[in-house]
Amino acid sequence: MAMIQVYRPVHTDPKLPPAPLAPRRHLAGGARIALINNGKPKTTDLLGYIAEAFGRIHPVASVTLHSKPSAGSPLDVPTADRIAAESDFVIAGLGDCGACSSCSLIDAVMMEERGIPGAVVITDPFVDVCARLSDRLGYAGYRPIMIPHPAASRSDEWLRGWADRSVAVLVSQVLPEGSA
Amino acid sequence: MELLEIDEAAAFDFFAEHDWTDGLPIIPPTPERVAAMLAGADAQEDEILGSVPERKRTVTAGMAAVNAVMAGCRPEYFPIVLTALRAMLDPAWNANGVLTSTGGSATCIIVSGPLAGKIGMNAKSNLFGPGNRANATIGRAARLVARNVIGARTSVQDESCMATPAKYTFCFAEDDPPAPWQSLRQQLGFDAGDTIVCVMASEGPRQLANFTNGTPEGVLRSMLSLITPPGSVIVGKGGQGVVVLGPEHQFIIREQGWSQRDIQEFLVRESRVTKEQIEAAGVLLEKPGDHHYLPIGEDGKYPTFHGPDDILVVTAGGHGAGWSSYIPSFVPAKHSVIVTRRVREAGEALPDCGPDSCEIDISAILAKSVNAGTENV
Repeated sequence: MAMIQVYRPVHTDPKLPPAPLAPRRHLAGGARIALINNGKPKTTDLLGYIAEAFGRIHPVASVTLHSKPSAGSPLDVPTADRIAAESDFVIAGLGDCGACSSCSLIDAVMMEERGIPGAVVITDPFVDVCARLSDRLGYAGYRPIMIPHPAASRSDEWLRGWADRSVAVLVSQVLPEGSA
Repeated sequence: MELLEIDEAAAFDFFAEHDWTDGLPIIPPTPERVAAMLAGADAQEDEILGSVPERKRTVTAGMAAVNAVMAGCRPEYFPIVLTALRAMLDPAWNANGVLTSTGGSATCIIVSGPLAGKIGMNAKSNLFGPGNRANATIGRAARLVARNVIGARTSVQDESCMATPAKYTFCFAEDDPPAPWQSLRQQLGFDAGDTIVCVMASEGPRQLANFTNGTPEGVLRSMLSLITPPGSVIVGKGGQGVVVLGPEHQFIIREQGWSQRDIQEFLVRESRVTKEQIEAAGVLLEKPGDHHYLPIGEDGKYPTFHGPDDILVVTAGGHGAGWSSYIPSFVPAKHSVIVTRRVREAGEALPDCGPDSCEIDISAILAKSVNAGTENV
């Protein structure tokens, strides 16, 4: 058996250390919610319904919609800074493809890095890509709000139903433990 | 870079079992081969080509050389491989989005300039097909780096639904057109003696057959039938594309006095589509706020391209009855754009930085900044 030396051809950077989540705070005075819409079909509706559903169980001070110019890129830094300064938590979405799921997850992570809790809405086939990327970025186990795929061709009634079912995960993701 | 010791006879099995190949055999990246590859471009192992910050990944010339060896590149191809990778790592190309997308893009690499001929690239018959080592392995090297270094592996950070066979490798050279037409590099503002690389995240090529029409407008109208099918993702949404004109079609258009700019302007103008055209094909327009289609124009149509610069006109291919090709970008330009870079060949001197900057005493600046820091503390 002739042995040779070869270089390992894959990326060998060490895994990043765990990154801390933003603190989860009680928002008794009403939550200022920012919706980060990536422009995928039905996203404006779905994120709005999730915020509405949250408002039925928790005081809401304001809901602001931010639309990204491209679903395939994360927020730019000045916009992320501004959203973080004006909000108590964000809901980013809709991740219903590879690039848009990855970038909506990064939007939520950018908020965590700025001290604001993030939630990301992902359709079921893309939960794994988010899990791998969040692990890579130091946020192992980051929990998405998962809804069935596809969402783009669904009725309003279907979207509202899944918005209602999403609230428990949203609460666990953005409020202190035991808030549910 | 990490060295491993493996059985030479089982090298391909070892790489395949670790999911380090595209499924095809590889050349084992031994230290000697990797060093020769780096020398082919006068590159240093730790030289940074760029990063994908969304994934916290950085690509070095060393890792590029490892994957170029695996792909089967000769060292003289390596300046083009490095240039293509630098283009792919430009933020405007959006490597994270492009390489993760369900759209499953190919990495279309176009080489225009004398280095293409010098290393034996194919710009003529069968240029998209097999049989030319430079075309095949440069394109494959770029994809192996995307896969192994940036993480674009199936079900890791590559979510392609269908993809395309062009994703294995998609690299070709321009066959410079006769005057008064200009080469691609000249059209883009470079010198005739430069070699450039343009990289587009693309679909596979669509072939045009038009053997009967001898007018420029006729040839280009048939090309439009490939450009504007509503089921294609960029139609009405501001994409980019490459028109590859075969010898017969470029002769018809050039001899009847059309410039390459005339072609671009004609295709931009005539590729605008109506709502009715889109919906007749079963594609439903999205709601306002779902910002995919561009705003409708005064003519009641959606633009498929923002402007003439979004179409590259390239002459290439073999003689035949009347074949050409159209390569669309796989997403609208707001997500990813064609990036062009000039190739720096091995041995090419760096630009003279002039006496002003070369005579700066760096140690004095460093001492000053250290003092300033101390004062602040």
